[in-house]
Amino acid sequence: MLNTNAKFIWLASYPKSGNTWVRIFLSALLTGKEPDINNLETNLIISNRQLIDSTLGFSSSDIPDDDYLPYRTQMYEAYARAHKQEYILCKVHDACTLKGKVLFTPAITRGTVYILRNPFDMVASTANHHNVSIEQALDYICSSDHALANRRTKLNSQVSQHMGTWSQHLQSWENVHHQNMLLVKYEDLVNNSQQAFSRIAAYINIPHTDAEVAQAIANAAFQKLQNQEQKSALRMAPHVKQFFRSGKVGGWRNEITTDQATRIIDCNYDALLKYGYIDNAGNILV
Amino acid sequence: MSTANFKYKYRVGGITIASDIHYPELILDNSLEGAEVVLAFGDVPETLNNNRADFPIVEANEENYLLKIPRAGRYLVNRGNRITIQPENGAALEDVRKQSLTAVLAMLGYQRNYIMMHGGVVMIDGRGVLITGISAMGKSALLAALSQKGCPVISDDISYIKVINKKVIAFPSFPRIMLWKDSLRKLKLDAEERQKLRADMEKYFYPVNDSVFHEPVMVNTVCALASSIGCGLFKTLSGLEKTTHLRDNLFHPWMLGPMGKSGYYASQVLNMASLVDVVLLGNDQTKSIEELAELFIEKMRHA
Repeated sequence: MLNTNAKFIWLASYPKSGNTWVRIFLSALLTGKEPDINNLETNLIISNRQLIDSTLGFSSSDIPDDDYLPYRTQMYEAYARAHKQEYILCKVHDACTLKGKVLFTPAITRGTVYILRNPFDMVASTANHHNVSIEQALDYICSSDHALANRRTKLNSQVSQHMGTWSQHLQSWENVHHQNMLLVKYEDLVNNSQQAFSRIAAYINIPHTDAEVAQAIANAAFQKLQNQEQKSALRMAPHVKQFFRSGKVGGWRNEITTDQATRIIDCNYDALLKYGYIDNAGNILV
Repeated sequence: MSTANFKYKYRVGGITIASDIHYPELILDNSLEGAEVVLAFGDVPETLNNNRADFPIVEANEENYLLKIPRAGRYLVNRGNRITIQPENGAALEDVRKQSLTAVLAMLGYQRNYIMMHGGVVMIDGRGVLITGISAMGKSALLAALSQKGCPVISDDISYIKVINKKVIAFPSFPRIMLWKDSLRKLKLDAEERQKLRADMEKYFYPVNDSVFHEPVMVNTVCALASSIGCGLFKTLSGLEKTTHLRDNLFHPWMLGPMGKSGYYASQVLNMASLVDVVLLGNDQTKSIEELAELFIEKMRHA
């Protein structure tokens, strides 16, 4: 049930979980057109430095991150107040909590769509995105300290985003928003597209028919996105050779070793079991 | 006011500032006239009466700008003629002092009716070019690369602009470029610990040649770094697009409303837009900074 007193609808996920794909779908559904991957209706990301600066009132890059952390929730509230639309769709890769503080409180949250993807398939995609080895990508997914844009020696267009391990990220959102959160599995978006994408549209309360959802799914098809990317690189990831890769479910079997898969299980066992990605014996089910 | 008894007199953006605080980053002013502004340590209120801003660490009204930097101090800029700094207990004075070199000086400029642009000015063959763009677009790195190639830089991050006799004039700020450690490394520059903006940040006030920091410069072109076009490509803007880009690249444009200056700067920007060329330069950082600097020089020489 949406909290209609608030505006933010978080499109939350660990990176490489299909967040961009969902936002492209929503853009297609809202506009009825094939979206331009570099000019989406749903392009807002909460870690955008301009958004942070304009709500802090000061250049965030001139003070240490920790010094404006206590104000983050207040800043998002101010951003929502300054924007007149009924709701604001916003991408989030941060964990919901940082250093014991809830960043995205229920009070400022209209709703949360959490996109969950099995971490086995995310590894190669993460390695490709960051131009690192499979082992390094595994380190990210299994590290409690994992963060994006966290390099302290350069300025990034996004502020630092703490995520933790794959399962810590998931738990942080579940713990805070379990009463008002739609969890959508990436694998369902691939295998049962019509039903899974319709659930998202219904949760957000976007008026839609089955035909409109089907058309939006067609307009957001991977092949079309890959074709667009070949013509003009995705601006949000200019250093990535191919952002839209295969997107397949179960591709990990050709990308990582059994030992590497076991390492993922070791650090995320409970959540993997809960969401049916492994069985009790630790067999991988995707 | 009498400013004769202060130890130092600086000139920043054409404004003379008297202070007992030593700022090695600033240019000293040796003229005999009194200073226009006093900068001193003193008591600063925790909050402003009639605050019109809705920010967690900034307050403002028509006459005052109050900045509250955690673990550093409070900074009050008043009526364009006084800057007061109250350090937080236990704060390192070097940090406190250097934090006054960005937004505080920019707000002083706004209070004195300068057009404060977010970016820096470089001279190409004697002509001023203002390089703007949102944070993290690579403005300072490009300025530093241009400086390395012998192009004088007269401001970085905040640029003091006035329209005088139908000419757009930039006033030198101070001979430092703010660079992050990675940019210094890419440019093969070494910085010293004491040049850090804050002891706990890897952001430095890197010194540049100060020989051109005495005379204002005419600006013919504004170049906005953007990710919306291919890296290294240029696009000339016209009409409303020019005005929009200049307005968007004012320094902290969100402060104009609380300061009661939105209308004034709308007309100033419109005026400025009619007098300069505005071009976009694509920079998604897929080209090296040296390559971008060379493309920039080539383009501006033929502008």
